[in-house]
Order: sequence, then structure tokens, then C-alpha cells
Amino acid sequence: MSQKFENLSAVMDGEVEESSVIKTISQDSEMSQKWKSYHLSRDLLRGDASEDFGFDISARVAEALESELPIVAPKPSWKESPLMASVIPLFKQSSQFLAAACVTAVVIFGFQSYNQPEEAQPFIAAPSPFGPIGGLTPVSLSETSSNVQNQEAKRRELQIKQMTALLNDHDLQLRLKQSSTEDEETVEEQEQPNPEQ
Amino acid sequence: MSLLKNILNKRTILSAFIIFTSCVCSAFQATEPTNEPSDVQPEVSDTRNFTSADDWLKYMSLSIDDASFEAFFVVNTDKKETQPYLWRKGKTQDGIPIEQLSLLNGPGSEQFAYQGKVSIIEPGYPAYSIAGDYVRSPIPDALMRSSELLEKGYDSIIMARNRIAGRMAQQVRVVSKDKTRFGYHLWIDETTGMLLKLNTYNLEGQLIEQIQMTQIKFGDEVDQVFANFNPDYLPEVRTVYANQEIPFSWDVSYMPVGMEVVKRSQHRIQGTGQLTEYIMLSDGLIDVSIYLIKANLAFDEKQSWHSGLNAVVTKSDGQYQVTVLGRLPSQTAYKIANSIILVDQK
Repeated sequence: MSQKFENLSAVMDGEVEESSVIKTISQDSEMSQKWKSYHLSRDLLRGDASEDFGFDISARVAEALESELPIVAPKPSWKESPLMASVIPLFKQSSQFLAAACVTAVVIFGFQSYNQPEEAQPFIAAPSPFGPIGGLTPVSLSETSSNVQNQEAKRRELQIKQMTALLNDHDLQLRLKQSSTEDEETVEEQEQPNPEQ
Repeated sequence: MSLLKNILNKRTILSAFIIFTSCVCSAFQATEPTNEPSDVQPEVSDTRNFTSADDWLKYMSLSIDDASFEAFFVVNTDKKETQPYLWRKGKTQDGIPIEQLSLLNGPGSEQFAYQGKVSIIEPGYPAYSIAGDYVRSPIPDALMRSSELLEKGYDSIIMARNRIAGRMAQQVRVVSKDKTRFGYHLWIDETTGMLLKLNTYNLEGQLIEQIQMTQIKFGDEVDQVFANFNPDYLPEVRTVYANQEIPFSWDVSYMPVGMEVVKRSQHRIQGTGQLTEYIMLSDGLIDVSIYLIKANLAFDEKQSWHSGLNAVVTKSDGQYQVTVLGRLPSQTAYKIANSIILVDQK
């Protein structure tokens, strides 16, 4: 056991470069935990730890990615709808236009950045370290001592939420502009066409 | 041998991408004359000699209205990924004009403009239609097809001739009369009247967005694409909130030249559920949203954000919060936000 950790610290100090040790670190959960905490304590000692070291975001990132997947890959139901079935043949016919493929290949993920307000991202990447906003968090020493920080994070998240909502609403209003100015007199109130978010 | 093949392949792809497909101009020019005023309808010659920028803009909108074409263009916005689009305009079998715009990256999105309705099909959302004549393009309608909308707020200036995408083009500059909004430079193909390039500049003269055609094909072959098009599949137009005449307790006292209030409404914002009093300003080219909501913890006195070319400026007096949002410089958005006055204290 102690041998294991000794290897680990040797690797950290750059004394050994054995791939077997590195492999164990990546596979053994205990080892990788240790590896993280070594690094954390080193960073703390040197004073270059970032403010939000106290939590491990990798799990949350994975979680976020999981929930984001449907955006990247549309649900099959969308393509199977009769509407798309009638649309897709349009593309097939246009195979003569080679350039479409070329242009498509130039960049990836354009759609995602198109749909998301830019400024929202840095904050989303750093959620509040103390659980969900508005949720009940246990009273503890750390909670009270960093209450100010917590409030700041809370505020940021509120801001993001509001800004995103406003941007979406702005976009919605623009879409509806044509309709509402043209049909001003005849149209009655009905539900808005924007689908559920 | 295979190496040679590889190189050859690469070259064809490259040239297909870079080289502007020569347009079938003859087919396009043979289209019957429209009923528009004759001073705008150009003489058939290889180069136009319009003396005013306005003539060029009108020429462009007429040309685009008449033509059948398939165009590819890319949109480059500051700090954003490049986005490629396919834009088609043609006729169905019955001779009814139809227009299509597709975003080619990612899961994409599709739009069809057909007989006064625009259908929007996006992944993750049910398809829907709204009333309208044109697809919602990154190229503003006011610049490309309805230049008369620009007259109130903008001046257009004729500039130099340039070679764009391998073709001779006339450059036209569109600037706001009071220098409060972004400036636009357009390059119009001298032979076909097509928009070849559109640059957007901020007040400091920095390029912030660039739209460039990469390939255009004119001619009636495009119609074949729409041959099997079945409009029955397009969703019905959904009606929307009518313009409500609600007496607001506040108003906007400053608007850039040419801007006016085009909409007032009271609605809930999806996502946060906040009730808002809403005013939309428009100068024909850009639309600005103004939201008045009950202030909450989220915002300080003043704050300014950016999302692409959209400026978002928020001002709060602790009781109410005003947000101005739109494709305009944040200086101007500030000015508008600062000009909100209470007509009648609640």
C-alpha cells in the first residue's frame, strides 16, 4: 500500500517515469484520488490554486455532456417525421453540388455556438460549489465562512438565466415580428409558436 | 499512381470550393421584365453604370426577386465559428416561387418560404410556420431586398469597384444617419445583381461580421430540386399575439434617427417566467427589444453584455430593471436604456 503511494509521489516529483505506475494511477480509483489530492495540496502550498478547487467538476461535466447530447445528435423522431421525409429528398437530389460537402467539412459545431449566448459559457462551467442554487444546503462552517462567495455565484447564475431567457425572447419576438405586423387586425390571441425550451 | 489520384482529387475539391461557379447569366437576363419603374430596370449590358447607391440596391433586390439560383455562403462573426449556409430560390412545378435556406453545420435547420408563409424546421423543436415572404437569413432583408426600409435611418454611398469571388462587383456602403448603428458594406455583382459579400463594421470601424458567397449557380435547373416538393407537409401558420394597446407607465425618450416603436406587449418570458412590459423598436434594418421587469437580485445598477453582435444593456433602479437588447453598438443601447422615463409613477 505505502509502496504504491511512494511510487505515486515519485512520479509526481518527476523521479520516475514508469508507465506502469501511470497506468495504475489512471485505473485505480484510490490512486487517482490520491493523485488529485497531491496536486491540490501542492497547488495550495505554492498558492496558485484557483478559488474553486474544492470540488471535482469532472463528474458534473460528464453529467452535463450527457444531458447535452440530444442537441448534438437530433432525436431520430425528428428525422422520421413526415415533414423531414419530404425535405430530405431535396438534399439527395443536390448531390451534383459538390461544394456543399466541402463547405460542411470546414467547421464543426457551428450550430451549437449559434444557439447559445456566448457569455453564458464561462459561468456555466463553474457552478456553485455548494450544491444547487436555491436548494437546502446543510449549515456548516464552510458554508457560513464563504457565504459571500456563495451569494456571488448565485447572482451570476441568476444573471445568466435571465440573460439567456431575454436573448431567447428577443429572438422569438423577431420571428413573430412579420406575423404580428401583418395580421395585426385579424389575429386573435393564441399560444405562441415557440416550442418548449 | 494513387498519389497522383489523390492530388487530382484534392484539386477538384479545392477548386470547387474556391472557384466561383460561372453564372448562367444569359438564362437569368432572359427573364421577363417586371412591372417596376423603368429607371430602375437595368439595360441589358455586361456592366451597369448606375450613379447612385440606391439604384444599385434596387437593382440587387429586383435581381434577387427574379432569379432562380442556388448559392452557398459563409458567415463569419467575431469570436464565433464559421457557419455555412445553402440558399436556394426557384419555382415549384406549378410555377410558384419557393425559397429555401439551410444551415449546413451540425444538426442544421431548414427554412422554406412558400406562398406567404415561412416554415422553420429545427432539430429538437416541432416544426412551425409564420407569416412572411422571405426566409430568416443572416443577410438582413432590408439590405438585400427592401432597401426602401433603409431610407429613414440610413444613407447609402456608392464606393469603388472591386473583384469579389472572381467577379466584378460594385461596393456600396450603408451607414446610419446619426452614426449610432453598425455600418454595412455590400458588394453587388455587376452582371447578375447578386449580393457577393456583406461586411458589418462597428462604430470604431472594426470588421465584426463578414458574409461571403462562395458559390452561386443561376438558372432554372434549381427548379428541379423543388420538383417533388409537397407543400402539404409544411405546418400551418400559427397566429400570434396581436399588437396590444396597453398603456405603459414608461416610455422611451431617445431613439436613433429612423427608429420607431413597432410593437408593445405584455408577456411572460419563457425560462424565467418573469412578467415583462415589452417594446420593440425598429429602423427597418435592425430590431431592438426593450424589456421592463421587476428588479431582482441579479443585476446591479448597470451592466453590459455581448452575444455575437447583440448588445445587452441592463439598468436597474432597484425597483425596475430595463434591458435593451439588439444588434447595435452598446453605446447606443446605453443611450436608449438611459432614456427610459416613467410617465406615471406606479
